[in-house]
Amino acid sequence: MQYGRNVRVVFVENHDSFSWNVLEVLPFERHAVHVVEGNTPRTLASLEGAELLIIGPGPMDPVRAGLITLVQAAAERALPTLGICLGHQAIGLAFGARLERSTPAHGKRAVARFHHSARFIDGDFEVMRYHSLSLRQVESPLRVVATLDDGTVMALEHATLPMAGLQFHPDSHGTPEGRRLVEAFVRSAQ
Amino acid sequence: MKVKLSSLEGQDDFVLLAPGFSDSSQWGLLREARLVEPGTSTPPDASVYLARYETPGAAAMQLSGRLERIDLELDIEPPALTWSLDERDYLEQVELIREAIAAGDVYQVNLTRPAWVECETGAQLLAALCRRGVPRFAAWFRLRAVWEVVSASPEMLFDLEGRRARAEPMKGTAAADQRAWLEASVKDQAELAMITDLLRNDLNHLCVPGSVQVPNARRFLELPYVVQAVSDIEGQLRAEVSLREVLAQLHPGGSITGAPREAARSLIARLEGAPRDFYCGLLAYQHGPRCRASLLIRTAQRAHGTTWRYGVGGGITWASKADSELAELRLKLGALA
Repeated sequence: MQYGRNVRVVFVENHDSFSWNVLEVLPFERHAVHVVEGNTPRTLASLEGAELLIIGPGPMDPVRAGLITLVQAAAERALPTLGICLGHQAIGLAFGARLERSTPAHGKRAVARFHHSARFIDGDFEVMRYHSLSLRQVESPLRVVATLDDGTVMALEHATLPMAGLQFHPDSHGTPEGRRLVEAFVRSAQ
Repeated sequence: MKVKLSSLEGQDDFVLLAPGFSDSSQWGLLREARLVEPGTSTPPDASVYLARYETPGAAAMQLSGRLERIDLELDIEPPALTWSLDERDYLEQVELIREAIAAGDVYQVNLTRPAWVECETGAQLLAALCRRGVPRFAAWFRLRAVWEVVSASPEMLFDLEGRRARAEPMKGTAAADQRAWLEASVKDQAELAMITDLLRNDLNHLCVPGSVQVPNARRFLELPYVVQAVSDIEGQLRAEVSLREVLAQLHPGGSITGAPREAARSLIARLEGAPRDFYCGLLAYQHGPRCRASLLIRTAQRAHGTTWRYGVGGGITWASKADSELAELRLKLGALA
């Protein structure tokens, strides 16, 4: 995949009210992005020929939203995959992390500290959160690359595959550097 | 033209709109209002759009008729109103919503309750709601002798001027002398931030990529009975986007559903039990390339005889405390006082 030309991007939409914000923050022309509904017979088929997968945010949890097999199918193809919020949780669950209830934080800003990230940018970023579940016990092949001061996992990366997740919303008006973080992932997955 | 409010008593098929719908100093009065059939070859240059909460925005009623710009004389003595708020199951439902939030099923739900108000005529009710000044989107309509609605809405759902679209969602209410408290309230900031992102989403669906901006993430409106927080979101509609598509995307307004909209709406349908009908619907005035819509909150609909149903609600989040939410509903009843 080469950043800058028309890449075949698949965006998995999970009945959220922020999906169009995510599409807006992707560094691609809108017509280059193929939007498919999550958890339908067509969702897996849409990976055929895809060069980049974005698993969008949404309600429920990744199991009920039917996203675990999607992550597994993307991993089998070594398909560059960015999970956002629910998508991030799906990547975590698919690789052995636990998902637990935490204090719900919807519409709340916090500072995510990125450290030793191979695919994003290291540094402290103000981020907008929309989640009530959080990943715990994130272990190899995944590693945590951003946390809040209280330890809540904000971003993860796969050690060998081009897969990563963001728990916060890079698409929110409350995440000033969201676009840069998404672009960094896309460049890293070239 | 001068028109006395009392002269509209007993009339039918009209829509009366406060000056705020058109940024003019005059009210708008649409007489002989009738439904415009879809596919009408010469569309009227001025129309009113109406949708119930439950109606898809794309199916909003379009009304046209004889439009007059009038100086409205509020010549009716505002009656002292009495009301009763239906609080049944409210506290339990707040807890049910919080559990759904904890499970990840929804982020915020706007839960409403009806208050039953006694008032003989729509003119009297409008006079009462305008007692301390005309609400920005005050309105009164009566159609086909069956639907009668009086609104004191302060909330703008959208404003279109050519290709320029603006939304102004409202989230966060405090007593009129509690502005400093509202400004500092983290819970209310979060509620508004969430709905601001939802409206950005709606506009991103309709607008030129990169054009959607948030010029104000939070500002305050001081009304006679409460202070409210709103945000401003704007964007440039894509050339092919029609007014019907705008209505389809923005209605029902995110501030009265919650987020995500689909999950919040199904929870609302399950919990509230009765339709909201025109309450939480939309009322828009379109003239040429301009169209401005209010969200029908602080709105009463005649239920039967002299009894009106006036809805009040608020955004329930994880940080909600049931008794404070109930206190907020009572504040919103202040529009009637």
